[in-house]
Amino acid sequence: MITIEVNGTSKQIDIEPDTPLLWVLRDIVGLTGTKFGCGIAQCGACTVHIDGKPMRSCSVPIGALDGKKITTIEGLSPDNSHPVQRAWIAEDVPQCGYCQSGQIMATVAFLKEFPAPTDAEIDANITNICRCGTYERLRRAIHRAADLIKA
Amino acid sequence: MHGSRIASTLSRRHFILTAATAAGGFMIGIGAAPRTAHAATVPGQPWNDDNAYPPNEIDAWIAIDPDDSILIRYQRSEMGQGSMTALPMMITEELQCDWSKVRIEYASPNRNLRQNKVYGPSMRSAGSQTVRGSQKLVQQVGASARERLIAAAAAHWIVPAAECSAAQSVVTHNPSGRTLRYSELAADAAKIKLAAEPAIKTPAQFTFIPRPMPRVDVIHKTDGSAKFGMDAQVPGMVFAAITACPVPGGKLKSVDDSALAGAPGIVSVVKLPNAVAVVATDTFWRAKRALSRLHPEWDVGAAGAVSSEELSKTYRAALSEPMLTARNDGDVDQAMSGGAKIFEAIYETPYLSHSPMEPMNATVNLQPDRLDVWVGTQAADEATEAAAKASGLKPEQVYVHNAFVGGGFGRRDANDEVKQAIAIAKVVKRPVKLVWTREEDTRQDKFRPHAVVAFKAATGADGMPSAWSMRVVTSSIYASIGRSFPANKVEPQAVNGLDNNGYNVPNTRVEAAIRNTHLPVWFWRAPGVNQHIFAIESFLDEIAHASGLDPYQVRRKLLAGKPDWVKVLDAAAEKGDWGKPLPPGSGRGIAICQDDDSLCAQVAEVAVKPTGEVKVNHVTVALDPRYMVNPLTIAEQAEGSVIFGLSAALYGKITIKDGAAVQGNFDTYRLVRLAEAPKIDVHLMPSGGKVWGGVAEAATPPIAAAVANAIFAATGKRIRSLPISDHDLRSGAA
Amino acid sequence: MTIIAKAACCGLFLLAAVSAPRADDNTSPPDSRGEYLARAGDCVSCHSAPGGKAFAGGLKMGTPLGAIYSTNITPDAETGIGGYSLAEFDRAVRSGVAKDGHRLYPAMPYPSYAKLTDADVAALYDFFMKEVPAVHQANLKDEIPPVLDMRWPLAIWNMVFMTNGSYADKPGHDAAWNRGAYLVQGLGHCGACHTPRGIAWNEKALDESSSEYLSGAVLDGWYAADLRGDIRTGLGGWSKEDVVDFLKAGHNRGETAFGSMVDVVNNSTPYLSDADLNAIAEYLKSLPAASTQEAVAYNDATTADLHSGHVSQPGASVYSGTCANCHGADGKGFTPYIPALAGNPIVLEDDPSSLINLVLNGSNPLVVKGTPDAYRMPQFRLQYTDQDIADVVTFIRNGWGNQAPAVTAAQVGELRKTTDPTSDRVIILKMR
Ligand code: FES
Ligand code: FES
Repeated sequence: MITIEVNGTSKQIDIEPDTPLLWVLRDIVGLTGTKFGCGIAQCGACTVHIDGKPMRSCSVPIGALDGKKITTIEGLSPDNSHPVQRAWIAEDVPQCGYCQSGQIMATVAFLKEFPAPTDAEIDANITNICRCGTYERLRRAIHRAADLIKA
Repeated sequence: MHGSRIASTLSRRHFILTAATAAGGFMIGIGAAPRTAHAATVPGQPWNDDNAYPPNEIDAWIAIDPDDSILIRYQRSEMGQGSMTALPMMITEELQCDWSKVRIEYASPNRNLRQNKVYGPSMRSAGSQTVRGSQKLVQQVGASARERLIAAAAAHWIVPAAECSAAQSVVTHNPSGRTLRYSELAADAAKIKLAAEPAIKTPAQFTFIPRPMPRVDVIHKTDGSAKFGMDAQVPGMVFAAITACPVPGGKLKSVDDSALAGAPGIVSVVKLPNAVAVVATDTFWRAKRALSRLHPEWDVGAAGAVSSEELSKTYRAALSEPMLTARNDGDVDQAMSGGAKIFEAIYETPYLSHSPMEPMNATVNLQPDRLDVWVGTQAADEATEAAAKASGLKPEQVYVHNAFVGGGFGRRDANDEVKQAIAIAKVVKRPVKLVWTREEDTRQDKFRPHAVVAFKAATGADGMPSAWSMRVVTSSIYASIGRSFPANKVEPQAVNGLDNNGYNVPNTRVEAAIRNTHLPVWFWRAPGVNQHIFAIESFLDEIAHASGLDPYQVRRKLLAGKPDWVKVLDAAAEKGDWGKPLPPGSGRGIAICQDDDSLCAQVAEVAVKPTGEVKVNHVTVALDPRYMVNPLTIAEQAEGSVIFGLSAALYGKITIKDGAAVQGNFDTYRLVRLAEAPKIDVHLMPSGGKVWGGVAEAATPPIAAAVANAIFAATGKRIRSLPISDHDLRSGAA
Repeated sequence: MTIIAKAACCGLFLLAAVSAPRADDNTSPPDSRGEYLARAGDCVSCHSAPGGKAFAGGLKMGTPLGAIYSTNITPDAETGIGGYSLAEFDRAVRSGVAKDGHRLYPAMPYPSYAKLTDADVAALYDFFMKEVPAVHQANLKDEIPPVLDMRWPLAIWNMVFMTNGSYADKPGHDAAWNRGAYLVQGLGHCGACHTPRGIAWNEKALDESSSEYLSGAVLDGWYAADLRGDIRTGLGGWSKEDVVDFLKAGHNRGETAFGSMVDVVNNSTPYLSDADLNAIAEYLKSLPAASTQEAVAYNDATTADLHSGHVSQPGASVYSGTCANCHGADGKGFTPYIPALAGNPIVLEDDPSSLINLVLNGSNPLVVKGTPDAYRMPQFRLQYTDQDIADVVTFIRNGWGNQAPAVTAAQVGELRKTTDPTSDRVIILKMR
């Protein structure tokens, strides 16, 4: 039996320890905002925060997470008010939207480490794939979010 | 910044002025969502589960609540292209209602069936048809609802309808100034039959569109509440993972499932003619892990020996065999005889997968007299028919709940995943969610065809091409989708971009030979054009350079007499700094195409490192969509189309070995990430005219040629096959 | 793969540890003594081709001289070994001489098999003759140029480098140790990959009498780990249980098998009895360190730097943008499923081949008794340049207290040329 805290709520998980956090979140906990795109940590659609750090939940076995705090896109803000979400809306970033939970979660964690990021730092750290190719607006939204957080 | 300025001040006149500036461009590239815009809404779950018809409907499309909020139904698919925002905007234009009070939901394909195609002949989003193919229909829907509301008000006041006007969800009796809100008129309007349908507005009469408007689904796509097919949750649902024969057309020979005897949480192992599925109680992961313990044996037949090398040889050999003629102007052979300077080159493009971000999936609940399907599909009406066939139920008994689609690009109109899910549900007799792994999504894809094009051209004394011939070998998409087509005709996408190229070359011949393989091929963003534009625009570049002419000017000359083409080409060249100096190792390339009646020209600025790495720094896009509803989402589509085409140009390749696709996941099928994404400037320059152009595809075809031509300018190396990553571009390399 | 890594495929490749469970006990008994021994010798890895019939041969192996193909060892009279008497079979297995008198290339590890007992050779003979179905499949001709195809030098090679005679128990050691020595030196032919080779491709040592024995070696772009007691780069940090778990499950407290060792785990070691696995562990753990090393002390400065986002080393950005997604900014991975990089013997090894190879090509799926691993190392050869990979590998080799020589783009470029990417496809080689 594994105990994790998901968006502030404690959950008891009884499942094979090699099960990736992604499927625990989607199929057991029922939070579907975190997406499955590749299953091998390549695309970032499944990005969540584990104790505040960005991780690709498809490649994190639940067995290693006893007592950890997980934040998913649903736990970011109750009302889309997180600066990164506001920046995303202002720049009208999403197209199909499937990758965007991961893009946003990756960016939230990234901006904690790089409050005033350069484009090079963004390139190196935001490695999530967007098949729709929203990168133009995504980059703008990351800069805008950084400004919103500073303000 | 520009975007918001335009947004806040945009009136039609202003817009026309902007569009008519010297640049001929309408800069929307940096458009942020306008502050002034009050967005309409859509629920996170875009489908209406119970298919109930609210009492306050005016018709199948529109319902008006007492609080003046207006429900507008959207009959196609939202897969990122933004038309779930655009089509209701068109209805709003005609209905003259308050956009901030508009609510949107998917129209029911089941109702469409029961009410004799009330949502139009097709609910499918493909071929960039969603807006242009619905424009007249939805304008009519809005106009007639408006007129019925006016008629209801006129009847109430006992005045001639002609004395009344409608605006912002209110009908006003102009002489007296009396007003009634739409909500007060809805019930009566619903009963009114108009003697004649009102005329729809001409673009010149539009007051609400074109207008940069934030997409209605953006809220749910930033907080995780947007429901994709993958997110369907049905009480009692079980989870299925599947593996199909990696060699298309192969059959399941045998599978020993004893390994799963007594495995916890396994519902069953389902054997299909060409696949094996495992169904588990609690998670997809359990099903996937269990499936990985089965090692099915397949019957692959002769196809099991096919390889890319061999296919390429076969296609190139077929270049010298008899072909069907698609176009034959002037006398090519005559023009090529004599002293004319001759150029020849062969271009080749590989199979590609669609790789939408959301892997294919479908959730079904099959009951004796009703089938519910939750899926993100590009064609909910076709999905309904397919599901009826697969289940044996009547189409009226099938309820397809279309979801937000996590990328389609042509892949999601085959509905094969729906049929699979139903086959599994028949066995497990419970609601089941089928999910493909990324590897399955790649290997069960129906690919962008492999194509080889042989060019031959003759130039005159001025170095300009006086004749050219293009011979294509590729496979038939129609054959794959089972559409019959006369054997003595060349199917359109086999030569799309070549036979309808814009250039005035007096002697032009385009021929094609179809060579089908065991690999299914399918529509992929901008079918045909997406690969043939790379070929023809690169070949033309070869001629220009060989003749010592400027590739831009050569195109300009060959497009003489086509002002719309020239305008787009000029805009790309001017905004793309054509001809301005660049550091060594860098270059610019230009290309232009027509797709779905839109025109798109692009200039790519590329740097090639001595180590051979290619970095596309800047792409300038000039797009003429003829007309626009929402310039913001059109610009987004152009940006996305460039990235989509760039992934294919730089890295895209499905390699066939032992009859199967080698690539499986994103480590073997590389896609452009943020670090590789160029700065993209989009210039929208609608020229009007008779037809509306499509906007979801036209910006994909030119990028490969623009980049390849830029690489030539930078290195002197000519790229004649894709992907570019297959070529050794290190300085000094041959 | 070259002759060595595939034919003598037994690179025991490890990735370092943190904490974890014992693999559960082996219950399934072997079908027959002969089959059990064939498993221990991992005959199937070379004598079956993927998708081919069991033991029908046909597996292509590159060699420095040219490509050769493994042979059909099913009891088919015409194309297999159906016509072999026990004596002839024995001569092939223990002396490397075929029925027709031609000498086998040492791709066949007969220098190791020479140590088999008569009884075990007989049991193997019974298995191949009676239990393996005959397959009529002609052997493929080797692609070694005629000039180099002279086999007589092998006779000399054998005289020089072979020690004939079955393994004899060493006094002063208990039965388990001797059993372990017999398996490791004989059927297991571990030295074929893990012992450095001399100029004539001969293993420099065939038993524990030399400190070069199992001290680690580079083969075909992989570094087969040091299996001696060295604390940083060998088994010094392992308990016997760690060895047993690793051989049984392909994992232990955090190490995960990769490279050629995947073939060995997929086809051989998990099928051995606990007694034999413990014997192997006892023997390996008795090998003293070949060098003096100090254990790595974990240092979380690297983690802090990565989190503060301000690391100057060139490889740091690739690490945090990609590697950290699974192995963590703390370099500890999620053991036992995803290996740690901090204090990892392969990471610390002077020779970086295995690390570079893994990043370039990923790892083939581990399949323990038919069950593939839950997680797999993807390949990065398409996504990253030689310089990127050199930088990130150098970063990993010097983060969290690790210390190992820097890696150059040229080293990566060389391996990019000479190695192939792995596939996610699961390959099962059947024994019957
Ligand atoms: S699903 Fe986890 S990174 Fe792609
Ligand atoms: S918005 Fe569709 S994948 Fe990113």
